[in-house]
Amino acid sequence: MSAPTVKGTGTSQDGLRRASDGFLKIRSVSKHFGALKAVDEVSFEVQEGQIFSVIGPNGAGKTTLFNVMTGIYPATGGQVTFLGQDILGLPPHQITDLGLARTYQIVRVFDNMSVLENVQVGFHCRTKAGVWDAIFSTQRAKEEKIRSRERGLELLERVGLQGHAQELARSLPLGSRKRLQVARALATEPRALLLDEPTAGMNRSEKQEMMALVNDVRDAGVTVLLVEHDMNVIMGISDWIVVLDYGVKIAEGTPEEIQNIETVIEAYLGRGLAHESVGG
Amino acid sequence: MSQVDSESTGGDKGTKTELVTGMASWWGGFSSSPRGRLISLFTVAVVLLMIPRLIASSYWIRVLDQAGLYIMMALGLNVIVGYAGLMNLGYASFFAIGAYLWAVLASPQHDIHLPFLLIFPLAGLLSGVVAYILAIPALKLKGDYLALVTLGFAESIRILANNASFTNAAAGIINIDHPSLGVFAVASVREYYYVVLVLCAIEILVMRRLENSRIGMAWMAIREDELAAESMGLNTRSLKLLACFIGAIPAGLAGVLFSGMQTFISPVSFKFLESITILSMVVVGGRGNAWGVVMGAFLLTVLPEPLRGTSLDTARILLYGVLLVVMAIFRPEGIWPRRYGGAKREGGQTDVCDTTELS
Repeated sequence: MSAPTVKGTGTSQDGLRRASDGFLKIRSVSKHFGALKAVDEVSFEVQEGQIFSVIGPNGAGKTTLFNVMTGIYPATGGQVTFLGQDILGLPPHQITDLGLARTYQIVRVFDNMSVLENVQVGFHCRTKAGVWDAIFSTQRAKEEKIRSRERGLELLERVGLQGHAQELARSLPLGSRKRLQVARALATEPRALLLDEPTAGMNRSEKQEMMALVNDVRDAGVTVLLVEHDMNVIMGISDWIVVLDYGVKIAEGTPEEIQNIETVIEAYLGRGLAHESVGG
Repeated sequence: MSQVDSESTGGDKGTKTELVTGMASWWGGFSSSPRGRLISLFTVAVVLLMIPRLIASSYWIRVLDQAGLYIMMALGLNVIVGYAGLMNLGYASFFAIGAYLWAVLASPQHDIHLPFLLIFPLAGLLSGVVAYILAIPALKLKGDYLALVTLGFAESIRILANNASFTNAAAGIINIDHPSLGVFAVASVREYYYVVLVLCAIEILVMRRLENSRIGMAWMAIREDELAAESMGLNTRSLKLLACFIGAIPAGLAGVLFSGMQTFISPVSFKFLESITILSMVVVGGRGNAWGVVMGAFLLTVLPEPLRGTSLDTARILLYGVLLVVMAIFRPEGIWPRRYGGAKREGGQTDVCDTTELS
């Protein structure tokens, strides 16, 4: 599919464009599984401080793109630059170390550890105590333990889970597990956070709560990149949207622009219906 | 409730219930207070130190020595299997390495008699390094294949010892030196008891500290969900290699003590059964909980002893297999797992035990 990309004419993107290396740049990234082009030459740029959404119907390649960006899959081609550094090909832990954290669509929390411990694991890459420190209970070990516990409780409070700190993560309901994932990712002190379908499986009020949390996260200085399926969720919150379909970028722009673009509506609703909704 | 009881059956039963509940809650309060903990620990330490004087039978002291060595090894395997959640069916190979190192370097076999204080730490280090080197390729495999590789490695070590001339092949090595700590020679079972007791105490302390440390938490995260752990910034590869290195060290140390204590070793002491025995101690006791593992090792060494020499002797071996299967089905988290705020902990992801939904 090679429909021409329709770019919005909103001022936000132009106003913030810099000549420098930029914040997060995805250039012609491709991921092929044999003959299947799951992601095909996708390019876009994320500005710091944005809430940036990647949307598209099922199978559009959104999660695959995230997986390539965070080092879970090797890319077939292209380049991803984060804070001036090439991150394609790096192992996931190094990418997180550089400040790009993520959550998973199918929630992956540490079931047999407490809620607080889950968050504390996020601090691992920001602390240093090793085996020696552990065995000899050094000053560094003690200080880091106190700090990690305090910070952990702070983060739990931010996501509204402070009352569950000592419970096992496996005993939490889905909505709480999703928020725990966010708290844990925030513990890695990221500059950018990739959220993979954070509202999947939630009811309307849970979705609103999650989106309020996403806003909080951005306001606290973390750029947010969202993969979402639910149009309503992202329309109200996104600064910029990229639309994928069959692995290809078919549109990008502000929410208002995207809503009216024919190709986008086609992708979601199928041809024929598109003509009717755009109004002739 | 006690009111009703005393009315129907007389005041006696009611007061008994009250007494029991009262004592239980006093104990609960006592054992969790810092003062209470210290007193309990002190009492236990005193009792343990008195044991060689209290028990007349040398046979049972030797059983306790054996239990101590198993405790050391089970705690080591617990790092690999319990904390990090890796699979290892060949832990006895690290035990064998330590044992043969001492036997070869401190016996008439090659007429070398190196000092204990030199070889003891070296044996631990050697076992750790061998485990690390083995893990470099082995950890790239998953599940059953990793298990097979560890098993195959252990068998190769045993077969090597069984055929090599420097280990005196199947005949084994005799007249192995006893350790000497400066002026103190450690020769009798009672003397060994104190050495093993001190080493166990040190190891338990070390393991408890590791368990509750940043590294311990990282290992457990890998056990729970390796991909998520990697995404959270943990270098899972180097953490897993570290677990293998540290986990094997106690086996090397225990091997040296075993060699010295028996004064005779041969490859039959390091069969696959040995690895399974240690693994079952970890699984039965409570994977990931140092104290649970200590209990598992102790019980599984001491309890089958009365069966030895009776017609049920071979049943001892059957016992371990049955126990592993029963635990896997009904209580994969072990008898004494780590617990949090009331909610029980499940067995977690392993390739030996199924995760059954118990709650």
